[in-house]
Amino acid sequence: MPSIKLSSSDGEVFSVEVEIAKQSNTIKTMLEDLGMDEEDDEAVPLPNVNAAILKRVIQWCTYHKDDPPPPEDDENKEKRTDDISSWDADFLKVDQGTLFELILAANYLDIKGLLDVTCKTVANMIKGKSPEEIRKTFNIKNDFTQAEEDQVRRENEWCEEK
Amino acid sequence: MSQSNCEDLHFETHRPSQNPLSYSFALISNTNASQYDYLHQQIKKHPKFLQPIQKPSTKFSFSSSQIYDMADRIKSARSFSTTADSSIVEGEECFSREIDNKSDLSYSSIQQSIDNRRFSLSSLSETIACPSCETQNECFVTWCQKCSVLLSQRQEQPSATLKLEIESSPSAQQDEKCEIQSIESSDQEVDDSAEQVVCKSSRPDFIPPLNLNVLEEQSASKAFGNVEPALVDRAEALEFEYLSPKEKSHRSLSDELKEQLSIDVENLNEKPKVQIPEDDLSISNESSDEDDAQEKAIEKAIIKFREEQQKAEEKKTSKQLFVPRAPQSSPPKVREGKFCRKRNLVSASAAVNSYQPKWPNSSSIRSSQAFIRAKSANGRTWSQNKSLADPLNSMKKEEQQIASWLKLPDEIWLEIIKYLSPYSTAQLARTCNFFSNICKDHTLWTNATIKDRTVKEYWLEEIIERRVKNLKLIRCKGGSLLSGSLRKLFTGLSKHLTSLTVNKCKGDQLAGDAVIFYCSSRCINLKYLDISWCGVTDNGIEAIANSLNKLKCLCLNGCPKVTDTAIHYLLSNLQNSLKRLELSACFSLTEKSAMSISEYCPNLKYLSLTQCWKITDESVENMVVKLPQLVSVDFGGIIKLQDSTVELLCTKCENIEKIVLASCPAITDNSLVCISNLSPSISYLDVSGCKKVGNKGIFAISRRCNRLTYLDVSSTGIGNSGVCSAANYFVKTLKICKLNFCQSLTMSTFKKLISNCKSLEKLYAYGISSIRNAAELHVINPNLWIEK
Repeated sequence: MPSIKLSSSDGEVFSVEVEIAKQSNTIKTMLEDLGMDEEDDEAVPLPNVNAAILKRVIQWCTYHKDDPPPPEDDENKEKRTDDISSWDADFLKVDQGTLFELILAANYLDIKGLLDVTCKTVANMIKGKSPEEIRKTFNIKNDFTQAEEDQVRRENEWCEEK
Repeated sequence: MSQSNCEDLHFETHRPSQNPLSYSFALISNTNASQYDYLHQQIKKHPKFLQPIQKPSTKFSFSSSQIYDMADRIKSARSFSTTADSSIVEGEECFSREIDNKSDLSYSSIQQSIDNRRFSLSSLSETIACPSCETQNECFVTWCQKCSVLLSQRQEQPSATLKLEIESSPSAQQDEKCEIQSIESSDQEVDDSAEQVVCKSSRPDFIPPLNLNVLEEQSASKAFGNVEPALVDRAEALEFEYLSPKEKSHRSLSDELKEQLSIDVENLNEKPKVQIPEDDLSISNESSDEDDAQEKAIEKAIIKFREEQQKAEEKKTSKQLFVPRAPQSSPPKVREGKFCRKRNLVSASAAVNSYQPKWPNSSSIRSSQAFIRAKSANGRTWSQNKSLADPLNSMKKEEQQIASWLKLPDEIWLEIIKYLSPYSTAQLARTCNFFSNICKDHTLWTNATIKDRTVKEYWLEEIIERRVKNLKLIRCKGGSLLSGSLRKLFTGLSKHLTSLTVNKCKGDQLAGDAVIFYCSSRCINLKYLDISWCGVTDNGIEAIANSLNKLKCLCLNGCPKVTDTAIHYLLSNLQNSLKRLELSACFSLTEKSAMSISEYCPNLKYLSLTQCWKITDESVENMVVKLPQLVSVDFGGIIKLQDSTVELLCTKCENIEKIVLASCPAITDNSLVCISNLSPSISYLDVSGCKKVGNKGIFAISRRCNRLTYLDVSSTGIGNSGVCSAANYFVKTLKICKLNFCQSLTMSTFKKLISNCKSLEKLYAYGISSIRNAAELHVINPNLWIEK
């Protein structure tokens, strides 16, 4: 199996099978369009991803290397969040900071599957909660004045029926 | 340190064989002139790296114009003044939130990074440990000074505590000195002026000499407890700029002046002043004549610029409400320093470079929103900071408190919110200003449904604001709506609305005809219209026919007042476009309507004429012959329908998948045999209430129709053997089975059905006396939903 080296923002170099790394469209495009030599010894720098996160991303990609490509988004189809596999659910049992870092990394590396599943996880953290519970979950400070709060409540009243 | 750091940076950009990654990275990390120019050359040498890559979503797809724009941003970083220290961290938040969702992600993220970088140039002093060799680096360093390992990208940087002083030379103009110092109350202004000096140094104007002195950075910063070696580094890097041909730095001076005037510098007025001992001046005065001339030019520029700045400040003050005031500074201190002329100027420009994050005018509104968001989200209260030290400390503290959700850019939050139901979205919107704004994004509101509620006037305004494309009002009451409200709604949504459902609604404003009148003349892009059970009359039908010629789907169920004439007029106007037509329970319709359908709707795929009992068998026969594309038909309740018509339907319509023949008393087992022979790919069959259907029909269906997922044989003559046959054949496909009121069925039959058909999800068995205990059936398949 040919492999490439990926260098995290803090300089750690990971050697990854090309097929696994290609789940990242960013890396895939780089390899394909720029004709990067796969035998090249030089590590691909990934300045937006630190070693801890990159390690997790590689872990995810390794597990999911045989997955079929994720389906294209359908605007009209209602998006489900209850279809997270148990492996992914375990994989994403991390603190919020790490979860958000993973989202940013998945976004930067353009790994749709990982981005989807992490976004779903965050969505599940919001679902079914009251505004106050959501604030507690994410440490959001309520910056509304009383008037604004009333206004926002009014604005959203029409869709507040479960 | 500075030298090695510079080299490292160069080293990184010295790899032309690499991919654009290194370039984008270099662009972000190098904001100083020499690096930039080097990069610029590299870009020219290697144009292939700048070609847009095929896939637009790729992170590295820059066009050359984008590269140049980034370059401009880097350049312009030097020509803008900073806001106060206390706003720096917030500033970073501002810019990290500033990306325009619509712009190319990669491009905007680079711009964002550049903006961040600018801010980080003048933030806090901290050190960062290298992950590999554990050397403590100043945190603004991107590469470890010792082993060149990459450090984190988003680091805060030491506060630039460069101190400047203006002092007249011993011989000249004490008065002017005073005047200048009274006006010039900020380091930053000196910095700005110094920048002007660099640019204006070739001007021949002469004015009594005035020395612009810069304290040696390290001593100054030591004294302030804020070691600031960054500036040494930066100064050296910038030496390049100053010493290289003057044209380089003489870039459009007037533009720069304008830019500077448009920037707020007010907040820096309270920074500490530093006195320079007299003896230092002797060093400065050793400079050459040429330098003297430059100094004079400098001085003049300073005076002029200062005056202009004052004016600008007055204008600007009102716009800067969201920028927190700088804290009161510590008292003036006297510092020593060595001086050399070159160093002065270089340091001045370095100061400008490091001190001047840009506050882009174009995005100031957004920035300010983001600013407020960042500020409030982290509970910062800058006004309480009284001394220079406090804000620095509190910035450190508060930085740790930054809620991690702020890390995510807007577009990712949008992706996350897309997974939420409207209810959850509304709850999220009520948490804080940031989410309130982002949750209004119209991409989240393609579909909007209001069910079982009394519609209020102001709801409609929200629906308009969210640019809903697919609006559903189901079982709503519109009694409280004012007369003009629907007009406003449909005017507001005119271009966006493509699908409208108003189903079983009541109240004057939501009556079928009123809805049609208002929307038909405005929402010309409507493709799907469902005005069922709202009492639509011929007038409404006429309005649809006259305006909505793009309709593909029209549902007018439950409109008993609609007549054949109106349907004829409608369909002749909508010729060929309709794919779906539902006219269930339009009791007035007769075979004339059926003829209109067959004449004008050859492309029809979905047809429902349930309960249109006046329609004759012959007209249905004519219809199915002319509608070969039918996929789904609902002829329930057409009491005259005969087996022969069903046979014709299956012969002519090869793609038929759904057939509803409920309550058609003339239908017998022969229909089912025809269906099984001619349309074995059928997936949905409803023959409930057809008393003449029995085991024979079910045998045929179960043997051949192996894709059936829905079977309704309620109230038919089906017996145990029929169901057992179904149980034997529909092993994998059948999901919903309705066997209501089939009295002859026994418990063992149900058990067989459930144990055989593993895919079964719902079983309807009303009114069957043999099922005494549904728990017995649940034992076989615990997931089965049994209606009994």
